[in-house]
Amino acid sequence: MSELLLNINNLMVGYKVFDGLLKVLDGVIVKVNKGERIGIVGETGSGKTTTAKAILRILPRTARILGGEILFQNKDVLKMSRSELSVLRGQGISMIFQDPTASLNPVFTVGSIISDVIRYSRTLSSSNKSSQIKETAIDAFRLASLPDPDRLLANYPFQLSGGMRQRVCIAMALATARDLIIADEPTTNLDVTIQDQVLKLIKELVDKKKTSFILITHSLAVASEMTERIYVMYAGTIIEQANTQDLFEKPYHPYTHALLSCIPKLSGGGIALGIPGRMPNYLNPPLGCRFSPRCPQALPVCEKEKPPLTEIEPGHEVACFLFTTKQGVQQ
Amino acid sequence: MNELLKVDNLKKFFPITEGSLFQKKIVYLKAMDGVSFQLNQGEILALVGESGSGKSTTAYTIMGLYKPTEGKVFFKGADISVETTKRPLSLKKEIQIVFQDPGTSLNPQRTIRQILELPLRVHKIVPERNINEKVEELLKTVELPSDYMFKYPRMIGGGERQMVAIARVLATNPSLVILDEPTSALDVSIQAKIINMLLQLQRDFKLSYLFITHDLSLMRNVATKMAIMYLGKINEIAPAQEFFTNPLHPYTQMLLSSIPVISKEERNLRPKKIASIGEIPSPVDIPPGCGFHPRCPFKLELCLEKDPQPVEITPGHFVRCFLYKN
Repeated sequence: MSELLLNINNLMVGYKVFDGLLKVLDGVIVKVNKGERIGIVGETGSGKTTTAKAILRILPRTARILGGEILFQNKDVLKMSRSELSVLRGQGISMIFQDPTASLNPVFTVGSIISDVIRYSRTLSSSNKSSQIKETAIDAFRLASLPDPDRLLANYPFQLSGGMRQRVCIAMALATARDLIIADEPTTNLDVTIQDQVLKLIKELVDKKKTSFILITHSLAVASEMTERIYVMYAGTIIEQANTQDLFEKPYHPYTHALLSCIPKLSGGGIALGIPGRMPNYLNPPLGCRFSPRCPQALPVCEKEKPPLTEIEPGHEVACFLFTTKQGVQQ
Repeated sequence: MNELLKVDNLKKFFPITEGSLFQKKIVYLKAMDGVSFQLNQGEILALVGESGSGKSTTAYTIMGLYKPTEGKVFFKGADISVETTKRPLSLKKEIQIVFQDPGTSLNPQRTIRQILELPLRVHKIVPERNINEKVEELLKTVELPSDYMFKYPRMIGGGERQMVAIARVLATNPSLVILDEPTSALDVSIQAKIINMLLQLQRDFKLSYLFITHDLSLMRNVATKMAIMYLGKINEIAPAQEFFTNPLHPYTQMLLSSIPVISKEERNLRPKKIASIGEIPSPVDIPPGCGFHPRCPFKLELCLEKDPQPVEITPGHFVRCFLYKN
């Protein structure tokens, strides 16, 4: 058995707005083992980024944690003190954001940005010489296959292309994180050939350093290339979890089915008609399964009760009454 | 087949000033450098390229938003290579465009009704008293309820906004519609709905589409003809079926091999022998010879000096690369 690194249990997060409370996350369950690459996939507004930000406790002020726990190395992140959080963010977990332009400060050189990151994580542990820091920075850049790292350190973010900027962010994440890297849509702003390069780089480095990796994306195709296991999210709930291959070959949940059929295939064969309806309003979400108003196979029970995430096959969990109640199975 | 649109050696250079205050130098950004293609009636031509390849410039020049530096655009045989302001109203009605982001292409201060009324009034499509009816009909064609006409764009979802943009295009009964990445800002489930609607409308109203996009998997399911652009030039142009089964240009192969896919079947379709390296150079500083040579694994000595000309390999399949000869 591999060792459990991160265990998100029944996490509930809401956002306070003028009209009331948006109940966004509703019992999210995610488990990450040591050295594992997992994906969290969902459409816009499904709560993927909220989940990621909750892990690092960098949610905006309007957010309210309504329940659940996030155990990282058996310690609850939600109960950590400020200093414990600093250690967590400096050494335990780091994050790669969607827009590298926005995550690099435009008035500093990339060298001084990465040195800050390294220095900060070092003060928490060992030595702190500026020559050593520079060396570490150059090593990190070299690992991220950035050309001419020595000279690059003196460049400002605007002097680099989008792909290079994202490589700098990857270098920063890898220079400090020991245990877990979270990448939130790391390649959405990049062209397809550059995306391919960046994804291959991340995969190679994560495997080499044996770091655990969470990829947050809206693209099932990107997730299929990058991960070993995928969680599918819909409207703030995890609706299906399986090994990447199983998920694509044998999806259970009606939403996963519908989503897969909407993806244009390189092999052709047309595109499905889409999913009717819209994601529910978080102010007043459906009482039972949040997908039930759009589900073509909804049962009477779906409107009243929440389906629990249940293991149907070894390692394949689904939150749907179609597979867990008698009524559903007969259908 | 009837030729609808013909683009002949079209060029668009944007001047930019470089250097210090006292040593100003004008250099040219070659957004489009000799683009030629032909679009027949009822075809869906996909113009595919990375950001900075000049695909949007091509679209805007055809629309008349830019005046071409050189070259000609023909529409139904007539030369239309002038800006919009110099085009007759009857021509503007024929060519319409859907932009990428419906959040910015729809006026936030106008109701959907006002948005849809404007083209009807400008082009006098229906008499004044029938405008309301026509707006309802337009909303019906894009499957939106008719009470949407009283809403503002911000009150509806992103997919629905794009539907309104499509309805606005249909208002003038165009024959050519340019789609500039109409679904790249949307989720796949909404994209699927919009693409299916666009295909249905194309059949119902006998439209021709010039589809600008970077999504090759999507185009596999939509286009009848494919054109690949790189640094302002078309590298390969072919009928869709032929294009995906027999991609010739190294850049096309690189693009196809970079696409993330979900099934084994698709994985087998990707060219294997080529991996993505390097980045697209700046269009201000285009490398000499073939623009792709710094990234090309098969480059010859000739590629560093001379720019290849398009050659026809099979009927309709043109490729601009020295690796291939007639």
